[in-house]
Amino acid sequence: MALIEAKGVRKVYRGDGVETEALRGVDLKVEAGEFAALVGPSGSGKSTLLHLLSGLDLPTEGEVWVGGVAISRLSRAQRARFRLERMGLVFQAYNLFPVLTALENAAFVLEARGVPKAERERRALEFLEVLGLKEKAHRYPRQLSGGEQQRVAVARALAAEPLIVLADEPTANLDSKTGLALIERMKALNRERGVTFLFSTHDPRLLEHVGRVVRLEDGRIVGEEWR
Amino acid sequence: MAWRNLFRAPGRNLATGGVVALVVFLSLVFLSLYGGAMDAFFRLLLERTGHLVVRVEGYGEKEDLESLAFLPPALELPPGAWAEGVLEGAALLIAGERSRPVLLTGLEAQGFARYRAYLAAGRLPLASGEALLGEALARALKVGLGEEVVAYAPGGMGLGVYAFRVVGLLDLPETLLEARTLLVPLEDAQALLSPGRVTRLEVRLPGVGLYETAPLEALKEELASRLPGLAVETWLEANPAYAAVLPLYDLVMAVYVGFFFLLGGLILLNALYLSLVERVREFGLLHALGLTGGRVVGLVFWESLFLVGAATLVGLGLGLLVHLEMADGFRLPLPDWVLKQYREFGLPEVLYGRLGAKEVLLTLGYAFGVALLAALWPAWVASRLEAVEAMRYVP
Repeated sequence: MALIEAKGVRKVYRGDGVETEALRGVDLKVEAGEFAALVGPSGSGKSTLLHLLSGLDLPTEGEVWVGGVAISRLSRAQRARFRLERMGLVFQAYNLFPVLTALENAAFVLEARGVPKAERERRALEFLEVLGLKEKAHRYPRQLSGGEQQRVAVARALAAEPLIVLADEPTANLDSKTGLALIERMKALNRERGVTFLFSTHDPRLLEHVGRVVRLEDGRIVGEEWR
Repeated sequence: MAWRNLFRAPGRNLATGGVVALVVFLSLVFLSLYGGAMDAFFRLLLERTGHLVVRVEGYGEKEDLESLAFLPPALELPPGAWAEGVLEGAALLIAGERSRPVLLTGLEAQGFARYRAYLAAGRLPLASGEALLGEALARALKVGLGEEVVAYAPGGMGLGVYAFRVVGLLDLPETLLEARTLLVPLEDAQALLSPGRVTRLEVRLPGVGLYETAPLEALKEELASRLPGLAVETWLEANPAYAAVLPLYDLVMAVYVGFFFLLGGLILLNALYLSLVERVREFGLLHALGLTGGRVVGLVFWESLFLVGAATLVGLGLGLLVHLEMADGFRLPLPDWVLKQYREFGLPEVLYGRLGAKEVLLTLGYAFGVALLAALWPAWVASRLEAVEAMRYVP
């Protein structure tokens, strides 16, 4: 069974009497250990699909399975717990907690899981080191550059050793050099530790590093390439 | 994290905490002042009435002195306690060609001593034949210190007429009362109106506090059973109009504190809500990372509670400090014309702040009640946000 499976997923947003069909029947499987990218123009449904795959939102039709669990059938609280235990999320806008240091941010998910302080700091520090931020572990987000903040966000996702890391445009707010460096580090983690990554991007230069490209247009998958 | 979030917007949190501290502080100061004023008022009443009052049964319906006066029985009182006889009756006071109807009151020496504070001129009576007059009465009769007045009360069991020398003038709180007040030694009043009798006995129990009802009730029951035909009342029962004020004490206190905290609570809610609205994305992120609604509520709740708790402690500390100062006695910081009105009610200008555990607990209860509401409501709002919507939110 695939690590992630979307079956006939449709998503319709309703607002002010207007219906917008963001996804029009998407079927997608992601296997464990993949390093895959979702690409497509703005409005193609990349973020919506990632939200559904991570259980942040529910499909209007269809089902989403992650790690053998139909998360689209879970309650809001159950989906939250599932994300806490099994998923790592990285967002476009870094989304770090300003009152916590880089180390505390990276250890946040572990803290929420109830991992003892020494253990969670050891694991968070390990990933900060892998991502080249060990020396800045005790700095606050405002003391870090955009690229460094995004790497802290990746460390937060990885420190919890999730089944999969889902990242929505993780390089969108970074310059091309920093963005490329981040993807290279993510790729190294995939290669060396077997972490499964699925991320969205519209930067074609990053696609050279991925193992699979899923193309979305107008809420449909229009092509897939394995590399 | 909740603790550290308090330092994110120090200016706003300081202002919010300041409101809470101010409300707690002002409430405690007000309650101390209010308690002191109530004490002063009731102490005055107690002093005038005595702890227990003995009168003939059904005295309220009786009008003639014959029905109201009684021979004072020997009372068995606890050690240190004593009873004072008082005889009151109507008389006509004549000075030269002028006369005025008066309420003649016969008092024992201790009874006169309580009028020392109202003495505007002269001294207290020391011997038979000496009298105190209200200043207004003296003016109406055009008499002064050392002059003679004659009390005329025919038709009773006494002499019906008695001459007094004015030895002191009283400045009483109410002018109307002052214009009718004649205080004379008890034995003179009895000779004039009703030999050997009194219209009331005032039982005084030193050491029994203002609001201690148990010893009064116990002695009242004991006395009542031994005094057939006489009614024994506590000082509050003897002053039903004033006694009705006492239950209002808690009500006024609760309404005041409630109103104050309602205002403080609204400011607090507004401040907390504004700070939360700015952090909607963050709550969405917490939820996205896997925190359930309950845990988000917990985070926001503790954050708010830290803030309100710390501010409450500051307000409590400052309030208690000021109260301790007030408990040593303070003069009301009011303009003279207000103090004049105040004096008209016979209340002392120096009050002693009183703050009991009840008042402190009431204040703390309100503060934490508002804190709970102010914390839980925005926390609940935060927990209901959909993670996706919240993370897209732009304040």
